[in-house]
Amino acid sequence: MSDIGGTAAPLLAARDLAKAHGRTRALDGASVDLAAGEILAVTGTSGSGKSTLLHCLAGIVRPDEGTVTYAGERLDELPEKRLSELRRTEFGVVFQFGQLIPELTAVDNVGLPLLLAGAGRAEAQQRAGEWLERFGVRGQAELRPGAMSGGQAQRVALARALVTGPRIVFADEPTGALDSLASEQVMTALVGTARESGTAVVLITHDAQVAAYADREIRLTDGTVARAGVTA
Amino acid sequence: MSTRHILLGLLAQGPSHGYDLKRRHDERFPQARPLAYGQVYTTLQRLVRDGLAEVDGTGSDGGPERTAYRSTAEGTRELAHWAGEIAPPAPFVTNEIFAKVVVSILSGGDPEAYLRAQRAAHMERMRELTALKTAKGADLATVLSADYALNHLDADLRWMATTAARLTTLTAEVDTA
Repeated sequence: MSDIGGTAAPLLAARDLAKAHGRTRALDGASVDLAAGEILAVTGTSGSGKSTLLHCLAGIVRPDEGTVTYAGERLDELPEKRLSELRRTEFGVVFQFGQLIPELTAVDNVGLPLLLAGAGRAEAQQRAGEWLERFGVRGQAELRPGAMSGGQAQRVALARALVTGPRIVFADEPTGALDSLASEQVMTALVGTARESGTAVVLITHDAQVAAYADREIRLTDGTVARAGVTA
Repeated sequence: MSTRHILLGLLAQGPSHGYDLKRRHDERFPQARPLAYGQVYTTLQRLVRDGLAEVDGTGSDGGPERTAYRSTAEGTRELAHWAGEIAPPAPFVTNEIFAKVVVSILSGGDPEAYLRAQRAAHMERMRELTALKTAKGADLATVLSADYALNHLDADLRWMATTAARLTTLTAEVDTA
């Protein structure tokens, strides 16, 4: 089954993706479209292939079969150098545990992608500060991740994912380690900012209350996209 | 829900007349059915009859004459007793969704299709509630009531997911019962 809708050309389109980890087929013919600025929740039980789908869509892993097309480019065929450039400039990624660099302060963590993209230190610090402000964690700018709460660290990770102005943010269980109120703060910040900036979001979650922040939900069952609203 | 206790709770903030009580009720409980004026006045009369409220005075403020009510000491005690009383955990197994799944199995229907459609409807409602509570300027009553509804819908969804996974077993049990 697939999730191929809309009349406008999607920003990101995956067709018939298959990916095996050893003998396990994590993806088995999954197809999905993502429109520009759309917030899409991908739900499903553990082992349904959600994270593998996200990795294929974000160009982190290559599918064994099928195609992933982003703005006219076939991600599954691109050389690693171009993929890495896209991941640095067009995509932002957030995981369950923000994966901030523990030795760097919040503002340096957020400024890092800008430095990698060639910005000067002063500019990187200033823009990072602005993004921390937008996510309500300006007060934590000089703290290292170990000194922050889980919710604060995750908002810093979101600021880092969005600081370069990506067209798509891939978020893999971004609230999986948070309590419900911290989860709400993170989701409100993510969705509010994405809508303001027209950034599309692929949101992997097992939590229906988190999925309810999205415009649309697809459900994965055994590595394939079920019909809309299918209960696995 | 006990309308008399909710009205007593609203009167705990000071004397108020029926129109104002109805308006405050509907604001505080936005997910509940709006109170009918008739129900407000009947309930106030019963509270007075039972000694839990009394007339505070009448006034018109240039409009129609209105009677204001206030809680009595007995009303305050009754309210405190009710608010601290444990509510019996509801027997949700009699829920309509559960009944429809069982009936669907009994009648040779397609419970999986029903669960899929029901899940989509639940998610749609959860998206609406999430938009409501995260809208700029949403007040606390709206947020709390949306949270309450979201958590109950979420519980339904988890039950539906487990049920879909169990359907094969459940069908065999109902068929042989």
